[in-house]
Amino acid sequence: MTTDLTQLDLADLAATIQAREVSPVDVVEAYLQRIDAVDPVLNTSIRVLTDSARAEARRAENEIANTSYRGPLHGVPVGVKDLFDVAGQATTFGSPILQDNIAPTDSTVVAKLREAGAVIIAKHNLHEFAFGVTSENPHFGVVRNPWDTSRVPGGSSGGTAAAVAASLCAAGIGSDTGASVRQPGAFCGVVGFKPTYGRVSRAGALPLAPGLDHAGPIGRSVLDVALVLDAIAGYDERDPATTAVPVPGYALDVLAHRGDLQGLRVGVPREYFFDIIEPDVDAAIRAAIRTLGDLGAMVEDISLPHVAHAQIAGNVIMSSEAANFHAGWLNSRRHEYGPDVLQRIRVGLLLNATEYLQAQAMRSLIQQDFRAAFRQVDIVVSATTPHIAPHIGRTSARGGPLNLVPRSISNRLTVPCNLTGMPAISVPCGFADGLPIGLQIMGPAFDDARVLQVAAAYEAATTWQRQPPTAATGRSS
Amino acid sequence: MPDMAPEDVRKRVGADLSDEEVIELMAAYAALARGIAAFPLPELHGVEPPMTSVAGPRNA
Repeated sequence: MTTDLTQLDLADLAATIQAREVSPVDVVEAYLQRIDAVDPVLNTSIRVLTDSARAEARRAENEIANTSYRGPLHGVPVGVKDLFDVAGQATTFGSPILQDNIAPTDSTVVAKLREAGAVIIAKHNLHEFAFGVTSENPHFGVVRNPWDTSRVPGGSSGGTAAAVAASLCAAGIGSDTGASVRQPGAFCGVVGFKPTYGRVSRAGALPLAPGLDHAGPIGRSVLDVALVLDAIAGYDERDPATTAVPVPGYALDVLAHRGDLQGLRVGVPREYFFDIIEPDVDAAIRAAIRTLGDLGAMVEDISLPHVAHAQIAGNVIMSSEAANFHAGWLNSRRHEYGPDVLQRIRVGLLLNATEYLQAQAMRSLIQQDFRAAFRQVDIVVSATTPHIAPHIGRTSARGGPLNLVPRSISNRLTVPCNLTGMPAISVPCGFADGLPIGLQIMGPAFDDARVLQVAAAYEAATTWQRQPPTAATGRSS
Repeated sequence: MPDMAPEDVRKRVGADLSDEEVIELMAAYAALARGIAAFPLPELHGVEPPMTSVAGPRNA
């Protein structure tokens, strides 16, 4: 067994804890030491919950010693993006405006993690107010990518993805309004899963745009993500978007089905998804599609005639709904906003009701496109992002092989699934310039299990997920 | 409508905006408004905006 507990995937760590080969106390101490050593460089955390994590680890140790093992998350350190309430802790949303916003109770996601026995180890840094794709936070500092610390980790859940990639927690919870679990997952070489809208409660999570906001897990493997989803999925009366559709046991599904894609129909969009894409990313995705074919899947073209309008529709809805949430602060506390976020929110004040409703109607057309596609195929695949992680400080300028502005194109391949509510996952599928590339797998609403199964089959057939970050501060082998 | 006058921007966002901020906001708004103008309007009028994201049972 490895001597560094932080290097074990969640599933392997859980097995050692269940077998009482290691104590949650030792696990948490190992993670706290690693955070001390690595996080001064990566800046993934706004707050490390040292004392409470130690107390929770002792409690888990006692429970397991008394044969009250709760399941795979018991005693496992999990971090959450700092927009999820943790009772007694500030939920900053990455803004000084909320630095004293002490949560009276846990968010539903955190409460469910605790029920499963998880140890909440850190509240993660993020793009200010979750409204951006870089995690260059002007108030809490830039989060750095563990693969290359001169690069961004993506966003807005950049702190969570970087922390998972660098083994500063066994798994994390992010939120995804246009890209924010999947895109940082892709940039950091980990798995990011946006479940179906309504699958995971957002109660106790601060909103960016409620009609597009999803909560979802980030992990080092598809199985790890499925294990976390098992704990957090389900109906919650505190979130009216959630449904009582049964939670099937995602991890068991992954274990039962990975490797077998015989008969699966994989759709490759003719429009939009491959129009603007860096050549190395395009090549990696084409290779991944061939791998799915080698595993027995049937690959065919599909048409999504309205999806080219997804980014405009998504950005209109996002800015409009964000302006609604921020209206009270925009005059009185505007000097406490970073310039990029302030501009995006202010644009929402300029958009009118007609434009908002037209964007919503466009959303209906895009949903219809996907519904039609899913009569033809079981899943749809694309790149997660059209480009690899850009350099810190150069995300608003033209550059890279496409000579385009990274911030303006980064969510174009992910936002369609925020509009449709469909489940979508990013799994590592290659490298360009030493930086990870993500394959996005999308499925019909509430077919989260199938998306996870396909991702797990792809993961099992490749070695990308097993390659740790190369930067000195990253995961060591 | 892609174009918005500076005085309209100040009226909706704040009277104390600098000229530079107004210009940036006008450009950002115009980019979105042009995108909306490119939507196929007849098709938009044929659908209802989905005020929930997911078709399907809420309490199956």
